[in-house]
Order: sequence, then C-alpha cells, then structure tokens
Amino acid sequence: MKKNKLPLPPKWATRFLRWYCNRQMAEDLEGDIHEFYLRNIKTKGLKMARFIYVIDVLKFFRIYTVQKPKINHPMNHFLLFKNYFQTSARNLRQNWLFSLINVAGLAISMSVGLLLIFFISEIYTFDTFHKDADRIYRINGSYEYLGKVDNSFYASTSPVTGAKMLASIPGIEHLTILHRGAKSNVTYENKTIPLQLRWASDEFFDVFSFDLLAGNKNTALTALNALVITDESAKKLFGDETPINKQVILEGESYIITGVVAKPPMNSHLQFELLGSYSTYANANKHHKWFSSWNNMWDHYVYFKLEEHQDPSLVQLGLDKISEEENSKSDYIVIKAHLQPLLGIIPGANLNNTFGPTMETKMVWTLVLLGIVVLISACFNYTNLSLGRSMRRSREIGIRKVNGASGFQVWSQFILESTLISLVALMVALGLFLVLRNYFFTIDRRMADIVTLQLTPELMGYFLLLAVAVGLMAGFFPALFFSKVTVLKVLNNMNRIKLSGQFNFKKILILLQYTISLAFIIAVTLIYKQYRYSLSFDLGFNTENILNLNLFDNDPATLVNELKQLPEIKKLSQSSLVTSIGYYWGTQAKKSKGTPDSTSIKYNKVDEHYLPLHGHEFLAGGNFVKGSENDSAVNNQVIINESLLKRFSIDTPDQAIGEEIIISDDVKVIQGVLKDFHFGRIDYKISPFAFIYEPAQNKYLNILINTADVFGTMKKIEEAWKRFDPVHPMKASFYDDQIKEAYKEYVSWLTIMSFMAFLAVTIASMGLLGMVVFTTESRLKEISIRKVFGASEFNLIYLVGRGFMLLLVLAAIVAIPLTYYYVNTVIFEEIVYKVSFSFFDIMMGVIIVMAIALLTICFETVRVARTNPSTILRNE
Amino acid sequence: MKGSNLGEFEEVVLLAVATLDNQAYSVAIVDQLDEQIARKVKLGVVHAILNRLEKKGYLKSELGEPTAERGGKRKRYYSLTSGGFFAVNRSRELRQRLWDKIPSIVLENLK
Repeated sequence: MKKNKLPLPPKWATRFLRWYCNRQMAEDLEGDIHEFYLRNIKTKGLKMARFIYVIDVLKFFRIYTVQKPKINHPMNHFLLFKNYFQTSARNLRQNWLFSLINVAGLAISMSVGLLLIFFISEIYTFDTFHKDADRIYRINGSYEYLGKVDNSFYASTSPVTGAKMLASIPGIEHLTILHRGAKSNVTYENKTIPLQLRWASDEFFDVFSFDLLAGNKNTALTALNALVITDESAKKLFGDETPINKQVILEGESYIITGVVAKPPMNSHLQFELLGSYSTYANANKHHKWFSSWNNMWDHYVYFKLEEHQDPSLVQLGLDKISEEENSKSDYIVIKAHLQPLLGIIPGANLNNTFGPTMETKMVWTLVLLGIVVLISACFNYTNLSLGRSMRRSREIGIRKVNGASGFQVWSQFILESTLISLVALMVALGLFLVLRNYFFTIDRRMADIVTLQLTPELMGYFLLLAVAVGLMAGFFPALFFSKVTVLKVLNNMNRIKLSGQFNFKKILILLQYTISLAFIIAVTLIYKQYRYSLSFDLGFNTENILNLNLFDNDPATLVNELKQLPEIKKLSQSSLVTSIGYYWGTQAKKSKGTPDSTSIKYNKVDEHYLPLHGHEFLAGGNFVKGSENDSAVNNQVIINESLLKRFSIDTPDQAIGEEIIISDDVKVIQGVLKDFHFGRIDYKISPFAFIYEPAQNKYLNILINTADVFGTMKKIEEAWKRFDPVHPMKASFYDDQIKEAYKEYVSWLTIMSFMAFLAVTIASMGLLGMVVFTTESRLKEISIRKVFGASEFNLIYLVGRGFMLLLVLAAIVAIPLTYYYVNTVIFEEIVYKVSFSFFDIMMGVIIVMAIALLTICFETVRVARTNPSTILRNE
Repeated sequence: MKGSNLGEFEEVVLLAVATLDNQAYSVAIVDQLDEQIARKVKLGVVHAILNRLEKKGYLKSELGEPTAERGGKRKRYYSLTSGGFFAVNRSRELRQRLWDKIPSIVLENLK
C-alpha cells in the first residue's frame, strides 16, 4: 500500500489550516485540499501542486471557516486550576520521596540564589545616591617607567591633573581634589580620638551629594585649617555640644570645625570621618618640588562632574593631551590619566591605591555564575524526576486530552505544578537564607563593609520572581513533553511508550550535574593546595614567633625599655613596613649620579636589629652598624638583595660592598648583600629591594618572643602599651597570622567553592538517588526474575549501576581539563609562584564523588535486591 | 419565507448533490459540475455554497469513514433535506409555470 508514497504538501500550510479552521470543518476541508493536491501532482507536477496547495489554504481563510474565539475558554481554564492544584498535591504526596528531593534541592539552591540577589542588588546601589551620579567621574592613572608597561591602574592621579583640567578642558561643572589623608589624632579639650581624615578641596559638596547637616556647603572647605566632621564622630568628640566653630587640635595644629556632614552611607566607596580643607594640605606642602610634579600620583584623587549632555570622550581627549604635555618633560616616566565613571568604581576593575574596599566585577560575576550553576543543577533534578515518572502521569494526561484538554492546558498544568513546588521551596529557602546570611559575612571580613543584606519589600518581589523563574525553568521540559503526549499512544500502548529519546536527554542532564559537581570539587582541591603552599612557602627569612606592633608614630624608646625587662622577649627591632603581606614602599635607584639608567626598587627602612631578628641570610658584607645620629656614614648605610645586584650588573656580592648607589637622590653605601627573599606576596615576582638604615622609624616594632604562655605575654605587652599610648588601642599581630591574613582571598574562594561543591554534590546525589529509585522500580520484575535465576547482589548492582558509573566517568573526562584550565587562568591568574598539582590531587575529588555516587546506587539497589522475589512476582 | 428563492448557482449545486446520490462530497460535486454542465468551478466556491446551503437547512452532511486516500482525512457527504428538495422542486415548478405561459406562437418563432 505504501509502495509509492507521495510527498506530503508543505507542512506549515497544513498546520496553518488546522490552526485557523474551526473544528467541524477542518478535517474534510483538509482532505479536500489534499485530494486536489494529489490530483495536481499528476497533472501539473509536484512543484505546481505544492504551490496550489498553499494558495488553496490561504484562500480558505474566510469568515465561515475561521474558528470563533472561545469566550468561555479562559474561565474554564481558571476553574480547572482547582483541579490542577488537587492533582498536583495528590501527586506530590504519593511520590513523597521525589517531592522531598525536589523541594530540598530547589530550596538549597534557591537560598544561594537569594543570597546572590541580595548581594548583587546591594553591590549595584554603590554610589547611586549621589545626585547626577552618572555624570561624575574619577581620574585614574597608569604608570610606566622606562617603557616597562605595568598593567596595573591606580585610582589616584597627580593634583596637577585637576588644576590643568579646569584650565584646559571645557564642560566640567565641578571638580574636587582629594588627598587620601590618614588616621589622625584629633584633640578637643582633654579628649583625643583617632579619626580617618581626608583632605578635600572646596567644591567637594558640589560634586558629591553627601548630606551637610550644618555649615555652608560653598565655604565649609575653603578656608585654611577648616574641618568638616561626620555627625557620628562629632558625637564622640564633642558629646552633646554643637560642633560648629569649635577649635580642635589635629596633629599639633589648631583647626576650626566649619561643618557637620552625615556619616557616608555604607554604599559609598568614599569613606571618611573628617574632611580637612585641601588648601591646608597644599599650603603645608607646596614648597616641596614633588608636590606639583606630574609623578606625584600616589595619594591624590580627582573627581569631577560633567556638564549635562557633554561627551566624556572629549574630556578623555583633553586628558590625553595633558598627559602628553607632562610626559614630554620626563625621559623615563609615562603617566597617563584615564576616566572612570563613579558608578564603575564598585563593582569595577581591581585598582591600586583605592579608598577602602572594592568589589571586582570578575568576583561578582563568578559568584553569579556559580549560583546559577547550582540552581540549574537543582532544576535538572526536577526535570529528570518528572520525566522519569512520565509513564505514570501520562495516563492522567491521556484522560485529560480525551476530555478535550489542549496542549497548552496540559503545559500550563505542569508549569503550575513546578511553580508550586518552587514556591514551597522558596519558603524553605528563606529560612535557610537567614542562617546563611551570618555565614556569608564570615567568608570575607570586607563583606560586612560592603553589604548589609537587609530584607526589603523590593527584594521580596525579586524573590518571588526568582521562584517563578525557577519553576518555569524546572517545569519547562516536563511540561513540553506532557503537552506533546498523544492520546492514542498513551491509552493504546501503555507499556510501550518509547522512552529512548528522553532517556538520552535525562542522561545528559545527569552528566551535566556530575560535571558541575566534579568541577567544584576539583577547584576546591586546587585552591586549597595553593593556599597551603602559600602559607608554608619559604620566604627566605624567619617569621615565627614575631609580633608586629603598630606604633602609631610614637617614639618607642620608653616602650622598648619597658619591654626589654620582660624575660619572654628575646629581641626587638623597628621597621617602616611589614613585608611579605602585600604592602610595599617603592622609589627609584641609580648606580651613579650621572646615568639616566635608574630602576624602580622596593624598600623597607629598618634599624640595626631587624635583619638578625628575622634571620636574613647575608651573601656578603654584614649588618648595619650603629653609630651616632649625625654621622652621615652611618645614616647612609644600605643593604641590598641579589636582584638589585644583578640589575646593576655587579658580578659578585663581594664587589658590591662599599659601592655607592643613589636611592631617591640620596647617596647610599652598600653595607651588605642579602640572598633573595620574598618581600611580596607570592603572587609577586622577586625584584630589586633595599633595606635602608633609619633607626627612628616609629612605624612598627618587631618583637621576637620565646614563651610557652603566649596569652600571658600578650597581656603584659598590652599593659605596657596602655601606659605608653593611652589614645590608640594596641594593634599587634603575629607575623604568621598576618601572612595568613594576606592570603585571605584564597580562604574566601575556598569557603565559597567548598560550599558550592557541597551543594552541587548534594543536589546531584539526590538526583541520582531519584533516578536509581526510578530505574530499579521500573525494572523490579526484571531484577526479581534475575534473582530467581541466581544473580548475586553484586551482579544486580553492576546491572543497575553500570550505566550511571559510565556517565560519571564521562563527566570526569569533561570536568577535569575544564576546571584545571579555569582555575589556572582565572583564579590563579596573577600568581607567579604556583604550586604544582599532581594527578592524585585531581583524582582525589573524582574518587570522592564516585564513591558517593556508588554508595547511592548500592543503597537503593541492595534494598531492592534483598526483597523476596516471590512478593513481587506473586501477582503475575 | 424569505430566501426560499434559490440563486442560480445554488440550485445547480443542490441538483448536483442530488444526482450524486450518497457520494456527494465537495470534490465530487466540483467534478460533476464540470462533467454534466461544463462549468469549471473552484473548490472554494463550492465549499462556501455548500456551507451556506447547509446553514439554510437545504443540505445536511455527515462525515464518512476514514480511508487511506486524502491523507487519511474523512469526507463530508452531503444530501438534500426535505427543505432542500422542496426548494429545488419549487424552483423548477416556478420555471415550468413560466414556460407554460409562453404562447406557442412565440415559442415557434424563437425556435
């Protein structure tokens, strides 16, 4: 009969006909047109026949053939909701295990989703409270020395930029210059408190919309020695007195309070407690040559507000011109100024010299990505389990369709069901979220400075949206599948529905889930390895049992004398910096005065006790020699590292001893050469470094302690500190702890990743459990018969588990290279000294996941395998 | 009873349905019109007329059994209702009455 099967007419036309034509006419009309089509093939050829078919279909689009819109339809649909709801609820109860897996998985992943919504919504409110925030810009700087391009950008720029911009670039409404300032002591009557001071020029309040509570916004920062204080700090310093026009002492000079400003809100990148008029700072420093130089770009910030409808690219052009002009004055330095929108600061690129904490865009999006991945994984569970149960559900769908349900109705029924589940999950997720929130703050201490995670009605709206979105995502495929079920197939051939197509689909979802889980676990292993490596890294000097005490610019002589009395304290030294934790002092060094060949070096100013205390290894020469304060030979001592030696092409360390070098225009004499050590974090390459002799630093006191009772010793030191400096609370940490702190970001990554890994594995395991339960249930008879014929438990586990384990192996093959690549290129992008990973490190995660999966499979299979076959087969 | 007057084409279609006995479905009607009175009509026209006549109550229809032809679609078979028969019959009578009124002389001349 099917010998000469003629080609069918254009499908779309037929579909269109079925769509518009009313039910009574559709069938015979289609048949009629089809008959003509067949006839036309014979007489006019296939092409023409197809064409006529299309024309006919279009021609029959007439008033009497077209379906009348069903007016009662939406109402019916609405009434059916109750029925849908009932069947859904019944189904959920009947399959409680599947429901539990679904709700738990969705709830866990949604709580992460909630956290992310919170986080993102707060991150993106940063600095938006400023009026015309979209017109405010900051000038960033990039620094190049002798053509050595350093890819880092600085948030700071030279004050020269600000002055020149006003003179040469049109379209600037307001501009303010800031100096970073420092934590400074402010004294009023007998009270002294340390406050975070920033110097700001007079248009500060025109550019920014910080709320000035008292004082004149135009003049508050104009006069010399004028201070604007935040309401919070004013309360601390003045109590209930009105702060305006009060005289205070700041670092030994007298200032007048000219204004009170509301404390900057949390979502401001610019934080301060005290604003000093920039003119005061400029006045005190303008006699220095460096002050007005182009490369004075390390602690000044320029912000400006563009006039309306001005093109910022014109300003950039102007900046390029200014940079070019200034750079032409120097042979070695190229400093470029760049525009950065205020709203692009947080989240934004990772800059040096920023005010306070920042949040990298990369970090934000990585978090979002991880969250979405976990969410999707939970949705897969839902999809898989729903499809798995499709045989049972399809009978219901068949009956519905026989009674006239349209595909869309079935679709919406299933979407409704998944949305219901996701709403239930949302309730659970909200509870979980409240627990998670506190945990989140402990991931990274900076988090608490950036976000509050407070619940608002607006956020609740987003939450509902999330739940609906998750419901849609989870229910989409099952709904599509069920809406396509054809009545005949379902009711006719109940047991022979072909599952092969969707079984592959389910396999792919499981594969993806396991790939994700493996990726997380491998990433955690790699990051952990790198973290351990960083902590135990041999820096080249001793950091054990050293306590670094911040001196807050006090002369430590009396403290040193007092501490020397303590028997636990072995040695004391002073330094301007604690190295190896990510902070640097930098300057220029030359071999001799005439040459332009200078190099940028990092340095630390120390006294004569520092090097022995830290156990640095000398290659040649010796330690600093203590001498009288005015002896220039004593004060010019410098000790350099091997890298600087190589940079200046001195062949052997011994040759260097006694040589003169120039460091920031001062002639220094090399006293010794040290073996290279890591003065930076290990993501920093070892480069030229010098220890400069300067006994009176007043920055850090390094205390070598040898005691069993650390706690008691700390207490004694603290008592001594209190007598020594009553203003500042003691700030001291052990060197090893500071190093740990410096690698805190690994810990943040680790915590986040291991948490995500935990979630991913949990969700995937739950999904696998569901699938195994489903598989064993549908193969119950087969398993029983096999058992009757003598299959062992192991045989059965192998039978059921083989397919799943194969999937897992495949997942591992996909996950390992991908993760390895991602971790190495994105997370460890900037690290110079990387730990090497062994094959075992990577396999460990894989083995753990495999073990969990195998356990899941065994658990369920063994349960089934142990049931007596007669109970199952008896009913046959 | 307004509208009991048939249009010319309506009448022809009704007659065609009647000639086809119980095999009258749209395509057959189109063919019948072509063969018997040499009128080439489009399916769409016939379909619309059949639909209109059914609404007027002159025709009734039912679906036949599915066959393998026509893409497995059933045919809709039309047959005359008594109203339909009355309408064509009346139309013929009216005409006949007019024929009968023609004087034989005129008839002779016209021939």
